Amino acid sequence: MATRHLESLGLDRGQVDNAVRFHLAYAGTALAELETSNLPNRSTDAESTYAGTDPDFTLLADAASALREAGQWALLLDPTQAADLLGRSGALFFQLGQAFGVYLEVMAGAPGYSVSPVVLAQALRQLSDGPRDREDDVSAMPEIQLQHQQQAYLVLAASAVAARDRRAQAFTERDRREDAFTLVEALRTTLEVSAHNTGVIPVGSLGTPIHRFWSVARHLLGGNVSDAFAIAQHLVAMCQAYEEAIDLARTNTYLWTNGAAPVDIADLDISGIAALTTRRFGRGSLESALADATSGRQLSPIARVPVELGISMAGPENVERG
Amino acid sequence: MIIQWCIKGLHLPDDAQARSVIDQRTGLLCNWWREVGTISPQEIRQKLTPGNIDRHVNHFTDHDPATGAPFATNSPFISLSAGTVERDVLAATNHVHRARKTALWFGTQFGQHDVAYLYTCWVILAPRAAVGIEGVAEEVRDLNAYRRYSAYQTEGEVAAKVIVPDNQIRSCEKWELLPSGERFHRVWPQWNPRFNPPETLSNVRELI
Repeated sequence: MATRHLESLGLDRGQVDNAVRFHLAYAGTALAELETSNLPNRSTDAESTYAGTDPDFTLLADAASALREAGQWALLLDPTQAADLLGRSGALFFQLGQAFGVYLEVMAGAPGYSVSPVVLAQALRQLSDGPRDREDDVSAMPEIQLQHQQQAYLVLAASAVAARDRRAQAFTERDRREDAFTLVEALRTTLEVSAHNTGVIPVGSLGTPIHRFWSVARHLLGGNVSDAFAIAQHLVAMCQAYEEAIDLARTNTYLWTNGAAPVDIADLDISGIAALTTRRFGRGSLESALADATSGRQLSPIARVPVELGISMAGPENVERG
Repeated sequence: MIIQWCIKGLHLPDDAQARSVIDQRTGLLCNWWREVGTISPQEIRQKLTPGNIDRHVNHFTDHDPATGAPFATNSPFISLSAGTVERDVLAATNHVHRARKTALWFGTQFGQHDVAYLYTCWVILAPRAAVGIEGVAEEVRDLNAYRRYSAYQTEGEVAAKVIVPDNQIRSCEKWELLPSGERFHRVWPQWNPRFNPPETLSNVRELI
């Protein structure tokens, strides 16, 4: 499959290998600097032209971004390596208080998320001005109310975690005290009351309107064929935007063939949603829903790339059924 | 005007050539100047056009209708990276673009080589597009329609014109990938003894 994707995109395998190696090494560079950043003899001369007063933030964000980049390139060659890199990137983004980190960990299928359902529920309640469990609770995502883009990734991740937890399927009085119910309750409230239901704020590298993320999160929580179809409709629209971005980026052959075009080749919004949907509804259901959503006309080979990459990351053994 | 620190990443054949940018006071020259050897003020005026900066950013290796050669060979612009690492940018884009990383990426020729030379320099940046003004660099913003996250930020690309003089280059650093591939490390820095710090241009007047 990797060869077909590379051919569709007109990319050389060796260059993709180089990109993975480079970004991984760069992440190692930033993390090594972070380890020594508190040493008393730290040299500042080389860094004195860098902006910001928090070098640890810069280094952590740098490493997280590089691992994210390495992961998205690796997705074209090796979904297992990609999942590992994206999971590691996600853990660093979460350390920075970014919900995107949780999304990356969840889409990568990381065995132990950095964040528990309780913490997700707390962030969701914070989002909708809900009460805290305790007044002295420290939020893991302290600025989530101000960060619309991060809210989109929070609801996607929370929905996938909630749907994954089979305890969420039956709500008894006893369950009301359990984490899963707490998360589902907070998520449903957030999805219902938020203005993002019809919002147009652009999110992600494709500038996808935020209402699509909200809708996908709502349908991931559902378990019917119609939910898979609704998600497929959003994926089709995003894939068409992706195809246009890729076509435009290929105009600059110098940057494109060297893997330096400012686009996300393995778009992590599309591939992540495809991975989460595959785990939730099964690959067959997603494929069938995509066919319905395109009225039987196939997406082009380029438009299909990120969806197929997401499916490959989900893995057939991980399919869950609602 | 804005004074902007930038980094230029280059892949060069050896240390001697890398050091000569500072030692020989050549500065960073555009490809066009290096290609033809001698340039004139009239030619510079003809080269600094909106069409050419679009070619530099979007059609770097396409044939230049004026010369028939790839535009890159005769570009009067010099790509530099400035980077973006703000917290709010990260929250909106899930990606920071640090100047050093971009410079290493280009300096290793997109990961094909294990060594890169990074030049830290400053340029005067125009607050709006002023492509015909030779003395100011351009912040390359929205020239790429497909640019990821363009709604939120630039990726820190700056295009200098014709030359970055050697006295605006603070240092050259040699960076190398460890044989294990684990990380890059700085092998040596070369400081420029003739460097003029940008504070020279400060408009803050002291009390008399």
